[in-house]
Amino acid sequence: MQNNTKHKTICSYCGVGCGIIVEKDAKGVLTVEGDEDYPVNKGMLCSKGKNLNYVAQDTTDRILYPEMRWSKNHPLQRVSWDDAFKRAAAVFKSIIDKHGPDSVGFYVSGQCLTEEYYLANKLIKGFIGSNNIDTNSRLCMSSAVVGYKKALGEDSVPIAYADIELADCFLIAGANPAWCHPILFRRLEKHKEQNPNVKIIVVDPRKTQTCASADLHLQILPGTDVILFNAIARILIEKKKIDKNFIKKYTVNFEDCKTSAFQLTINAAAKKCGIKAEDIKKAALYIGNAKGFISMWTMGLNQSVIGVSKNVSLLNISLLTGHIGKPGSGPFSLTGQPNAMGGREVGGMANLLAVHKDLNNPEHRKEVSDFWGGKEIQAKPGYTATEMFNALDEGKLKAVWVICTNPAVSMPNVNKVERALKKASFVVVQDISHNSETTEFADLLLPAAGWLEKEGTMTNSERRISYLPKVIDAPGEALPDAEILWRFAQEMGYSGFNYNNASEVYDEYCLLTKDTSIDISGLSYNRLKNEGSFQWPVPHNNHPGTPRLFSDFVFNTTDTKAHFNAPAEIYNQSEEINVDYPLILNTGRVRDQWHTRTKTGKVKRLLTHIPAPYLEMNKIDAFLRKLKEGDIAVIKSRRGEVQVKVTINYDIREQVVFLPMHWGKILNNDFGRANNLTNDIVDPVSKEPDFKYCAVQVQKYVKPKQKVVVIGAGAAAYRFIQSYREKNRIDELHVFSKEEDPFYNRVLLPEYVSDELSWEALEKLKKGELKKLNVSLHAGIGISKVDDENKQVIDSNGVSHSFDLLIMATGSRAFVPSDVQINLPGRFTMRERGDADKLKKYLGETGLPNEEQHVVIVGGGLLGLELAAALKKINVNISIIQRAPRLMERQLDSVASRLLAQDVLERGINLYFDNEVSTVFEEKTSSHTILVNLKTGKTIKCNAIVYAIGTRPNIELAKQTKLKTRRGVVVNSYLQTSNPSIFALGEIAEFRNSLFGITSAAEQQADIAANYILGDFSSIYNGSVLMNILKFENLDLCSIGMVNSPADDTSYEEIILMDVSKRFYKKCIVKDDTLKGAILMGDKNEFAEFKRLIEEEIELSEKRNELLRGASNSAPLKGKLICSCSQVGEGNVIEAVQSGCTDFIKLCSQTGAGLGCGSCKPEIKEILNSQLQLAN
Amino acid sequence: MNDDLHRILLKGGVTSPGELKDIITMLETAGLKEVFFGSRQDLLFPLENAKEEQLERISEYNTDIVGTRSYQNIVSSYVCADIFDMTFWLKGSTFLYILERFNYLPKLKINITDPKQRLVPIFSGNLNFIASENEDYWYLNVKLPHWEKGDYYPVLIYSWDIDIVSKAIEDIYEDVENVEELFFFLSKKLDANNKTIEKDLEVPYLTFPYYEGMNRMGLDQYWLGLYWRNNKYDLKFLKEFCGFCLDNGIGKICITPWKSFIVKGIKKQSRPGLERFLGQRGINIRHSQLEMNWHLPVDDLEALELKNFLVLSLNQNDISTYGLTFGLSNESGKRTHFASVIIEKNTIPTIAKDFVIRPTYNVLHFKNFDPNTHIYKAYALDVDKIELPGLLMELSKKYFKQLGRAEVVIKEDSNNTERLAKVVHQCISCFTVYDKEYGDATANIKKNTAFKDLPIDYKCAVCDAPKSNYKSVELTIL
Repeated sequence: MQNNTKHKTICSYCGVGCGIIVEKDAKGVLTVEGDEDYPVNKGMLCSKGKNLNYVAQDTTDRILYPEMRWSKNHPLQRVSWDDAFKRAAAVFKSIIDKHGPDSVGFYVSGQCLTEEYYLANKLIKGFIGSNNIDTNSRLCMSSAVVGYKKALGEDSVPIAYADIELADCFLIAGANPAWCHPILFRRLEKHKEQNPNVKIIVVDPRKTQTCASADLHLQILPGTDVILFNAIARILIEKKKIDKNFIKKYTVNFEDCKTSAFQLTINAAAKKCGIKAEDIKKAALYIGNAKGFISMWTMGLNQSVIGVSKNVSLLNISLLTGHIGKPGSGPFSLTGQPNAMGGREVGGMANLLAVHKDLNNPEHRKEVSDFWGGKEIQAKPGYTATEMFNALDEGKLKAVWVICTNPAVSMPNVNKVERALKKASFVVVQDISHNSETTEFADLLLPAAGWLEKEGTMTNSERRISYLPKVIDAPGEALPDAEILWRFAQEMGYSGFNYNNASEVYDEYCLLTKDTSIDISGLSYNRLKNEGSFQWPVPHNNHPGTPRLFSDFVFNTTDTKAHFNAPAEIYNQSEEINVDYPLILNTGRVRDQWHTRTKTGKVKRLLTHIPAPYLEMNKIDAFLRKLKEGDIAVIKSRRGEVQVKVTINYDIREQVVFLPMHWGKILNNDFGRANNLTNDIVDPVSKEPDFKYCAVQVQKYVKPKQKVVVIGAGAAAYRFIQSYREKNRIDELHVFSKEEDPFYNRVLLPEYVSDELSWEALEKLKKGELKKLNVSLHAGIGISKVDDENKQVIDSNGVSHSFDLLIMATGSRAFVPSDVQINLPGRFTMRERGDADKLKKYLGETGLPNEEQHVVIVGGGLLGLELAAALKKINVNISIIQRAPRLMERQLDSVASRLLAQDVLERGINLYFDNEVSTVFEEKTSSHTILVNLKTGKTIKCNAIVYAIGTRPNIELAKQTKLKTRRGVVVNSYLQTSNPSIFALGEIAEFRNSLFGITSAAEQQADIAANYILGDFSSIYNGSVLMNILKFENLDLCSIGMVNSPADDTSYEEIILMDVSKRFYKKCIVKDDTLKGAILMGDKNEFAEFKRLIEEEIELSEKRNELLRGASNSAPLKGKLICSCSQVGEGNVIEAVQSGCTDFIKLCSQTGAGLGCGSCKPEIKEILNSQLQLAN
Repeated sequence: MNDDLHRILLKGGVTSPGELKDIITMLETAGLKEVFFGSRQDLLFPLENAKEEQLERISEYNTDIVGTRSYQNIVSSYVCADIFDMTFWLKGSTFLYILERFNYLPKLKINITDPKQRLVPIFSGNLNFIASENEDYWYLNVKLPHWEKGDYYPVLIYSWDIDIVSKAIEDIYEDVENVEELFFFLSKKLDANNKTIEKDLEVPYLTFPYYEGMNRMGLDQYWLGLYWRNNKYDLKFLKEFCGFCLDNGIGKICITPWKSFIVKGIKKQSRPGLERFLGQRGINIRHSQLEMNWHLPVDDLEALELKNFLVLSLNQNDISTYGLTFGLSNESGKRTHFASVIIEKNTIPTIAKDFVIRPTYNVLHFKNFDPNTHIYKAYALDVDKIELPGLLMELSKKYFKQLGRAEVVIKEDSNNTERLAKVVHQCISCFTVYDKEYGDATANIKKNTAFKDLPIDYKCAVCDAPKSNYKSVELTIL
């Protein structure tokens, strides 16, 4: 443990900027926890920050070395850094020579460190001689920047987080900090808990999670924010709740504000906003009576075509009430990215100069260019984000250098952005992850170092500057972004880029800030490392930093007064809704994802909350479109469409729908990419796009009617028709079953042979159900040929049937060695009902009482053992011949096998290991008697021999059809075969080199194929975890996933608990903090939980201790046993339903029922339905 | 040599106590007292031809006695299953299922092995099936009798196709010159379930294991290896041993290529009985590794004497040979050994046949002392017997010096290996390349359009430079 090192750093997600302590152990494994000493979060972290260690340690997605295309026609190929820089410099020089400096541009990111931002800005503005640098902060913050500048004279957040605990009224507008700025919001929640008089007003068209703490939720119509804020201003003025003294002494333009506010009456405003006038009055009253008032906002105001108007009208409220420059008061814009603020400080935007100097001011430009020693800085602003991609599209911009951002997902009207990137002469993408969709467009792809892999500084939303150290090495040849930039500049031949390290860059930048209002000339890496973080300004080297700005009420405007601004637009200027596009689409974030998921998408724990894109809509809008929860909807705008599932509630306003913005392409399909729909019009001043408002139509996805033919009637086919019919009543479904009896539980055949269960108990479909499902069953008829060209199948009677879609679920057959004469009397397999009936009949014909019958079972796997146990239970003598040295060789490790063998022997079953059947003869002297000679030399006299040594998939039909086959029929992530209209499910489906011959896999595949066919593109198969449950009386035994860890791989750990004499054995295999496999013997209460952890590869984190201690907390069995695998009773299921669990799949996972062999699922469903009927 | 010996082929070196007992009965009927184990995991014994059929009739297991050299036993590493490391998906029974499917006597030497073990030679056959990391798929290394060197079949073979593929090769191999031809012929002939090779086989270097004595296996079982110095296995003892196995539920007896045998799955409670059984018969276990890591021609007294002489010298000098294996060979130039050090006896030149000439020896060893490298290095040629102990001691030191320091082979990125320098045209301003292989879709230039055929007004797609700005260069690119 003494080798562990601790490093203080800052979270790389949102603008809150929480402090993190990273601990690195001797093996290099990282853990993270909140920094208790850091003033921002005081030890707290949100779900995303808590899992940053997994993001940093999983390097599978990383770009490892530079790659380049020698022309658009060439593939990307690996090159050296030297070659990469030479080519980049040659391209940029040639293009600049030919088309001038404004033909190139940089598109950077609020995730860049301050040093990187500074260098990119210096490079293009000071040396290339163009202002074409913009950042993704344009998409999130630029309206706030303009607002601040107009009102306060400078882009400065006046307050500190510490003001939260000092305020008593909050107006949160167009923000959902509960999900998007969780740690800040927890501070707010706690403050309100301790001070119930604190008022929180939330303005949002959606009832978000933030509303849970609100005293007042103003659920306005999208785009009516200015009207609302003006109305509040009017009430404040009318009710004289304004700070006249402050207004008089420290502000100008009050009259403009008043005029604007008085344009509409309160009632008229309320009507426009779609809310009650009393609620506006209430809000105004809360604000007017506040001692400390803070307004918080993000994208709801900024990402708007009237974003600046929204900002200034909100800022007016702070100025009217004088709530600025004093503790517990002030406007407070929340930033979405960790260093959006740092980027603004270094001037990393097309219309900014460095260090908050003014690009319009020739003196300022000269000061900066003299400092840098490069070219004269141009006065004309460069292209802003959307302008940059428009210019690429129009051919005005030739080359673009993208750093640390993913415009192919995040830009509005993203189809146009993709087109522009394709048209560009040269695209450089500098990033860490291949998961970024933009990398596909790169002519030059440069691998950058990520979080913890480089040093630098960031500024959070309260102007707090922190230092981030390098803790681990970057993978492959990845370099820190700052180094990439200065080496490129050197290659371009520019002087002034001869840095040795990031610290030198930072010192240069600090020097440039001297005597400006953001002066941090008192800062250095040393101070930040030794003394911690600082809020700027920090003008000299023993200055403690500045928590709060404007406490002297001297503002940075030319007249030093704060300025009221009449909003330029009161009414929304977005595209209009009409009959074709009658709904307003709002986009935004969800809790556990961040931006375009290149980082959060890697952490399985973060995928469990909301795993796929969805559309949230109001119940009434859904009802009008006949959409039900979970249905697939097509959402269209004038620019594109998406197709996702719907989530229906009353939390969102009528006529408004919401779509998360995180998802890009999935399996190369952009079905869930929100920005296909959004509009690229921008606010005329801030140039920020109108993400939050576009006109759409939503329709239920309608699949043309098809005829679906299913071959086979096993578990996969059963589940397929069930799932299909749940969502589609129109298509024709035909099932061909070679067996007379379709849809029964094969796994229960042993209990049927022993007469413990009747045939009815094995049937999955009760009488009449097939009719209800409207499925045409062709019982006893197989398919002998598939004519895939003409889309026809020919059945065993020679009749052809057409199909649109064909589902092959032909299952497998019992394996019998080639020299076994299975057709002679006394020899059996156990695969179908016929086999079971034959064996039953034969044993009856012996005329012997059970205790004198003797059956030899070849094979000590699941089937052999369960058949043995079932027959032994009715006193038939049993011998098991096992070729391997132990039982269930593939499914168990040697310890579990050994313990199982002891149990089997105690049941009175004979076991012959390492043994094979040599010959089988009928005894001539007596009927129904055979002699089984083993290779060891032993002869067993018995009545019957059953071969249970495994199965072979039935892929002959697929082979004839020339589908791609290997061990099985090869399928893709949608279970499609090489012919897209033919799907393969169950034991025959080979996915990524694996066959999954278990019921639960067949069912999973059936669901996925059915959902995909019915339009759900997020229904994707990733393989199944193998699991085995032995159904033995009085013995719990199961295995999931891996049972032995690879001998020579030290990254695997085994956690073992064992009590041999009690037959208790528990083994867990862990790799990279995820559970890879488990064997549970003696107690399998944890089966459901372990199965989930293994299947979803969820990082264990603190769960690991529970695994070790093995405390089981599942409910005892109640009522009639329903699920023998997980030992769940009818009572358990009913209880769960009555306590409100009415979704079938949730019911299974909650109770654990149906998670094993799955044979009890119909019963569970029936219980669920009858309980629901009772309730109605 | 031992061409006059008759053989019983135990497929994969696996037999059961019942079968072995049956064989012993046959051999005893023939008046034999001993049997030799062969390096292909078979049984060897002298027999007059006439007796073959007569004896075969006695067998209850239809055992064949093979009198000619034309048939070869199938070698497998079943013997290592459950006692040494294994490829993750392999089980002992996997070998048994595969062996069971062979319903013909192969003339080619077939080896079916796990590359994670070192007891059974991986590359000593004509058809070497080697387990891959893909479940149920095998590499096939082919070295047909008339080929100079071995080569890998271009695809992986499915477990259940091993017998079919082997038989198909057997039918045509004489006319086949290389694996490409072989693949072509087989692809036409067979509908086999192949799989493309994703990565080349890497056989890890493993030291040679100790394979004798009573050893623990799993929770409460043991395995036993028995070794006879002179490779003369007493039939009476073997028969009694089979009886012991039958009484104690031991199902399989495995012959190793090192002329010893191994039984596995001995129950804890059988162990004292087994020790008593061995003790009563004066069976010595725990032989020194010094003498167990030798591979000798069967029934070759001279070779045995040479070995004893060398072992004695090594022992006297306290030399460790753990991890190394030694082979004695009478055929100089034979290249299918599987010991790390080979001592070849040179053939006496015909012209000198009538004179008494002291034989001379060559000492060779494999690269890194790993037989799986297939690379022989001559250490000393034409030396006298008396020099051999000194040479072996030197080699032992050399071996330990390099052990664990095996050279790190820097693998070339597969991306790189495909790159060949080729002549293309490059814009001298922005380094953009025109390659006729790709054409230029951005200017509607089709693939395979030569640079000279580009229109006169062709411009660089990146920087708009004229066609004349392009110069012919040689570049190493894809």
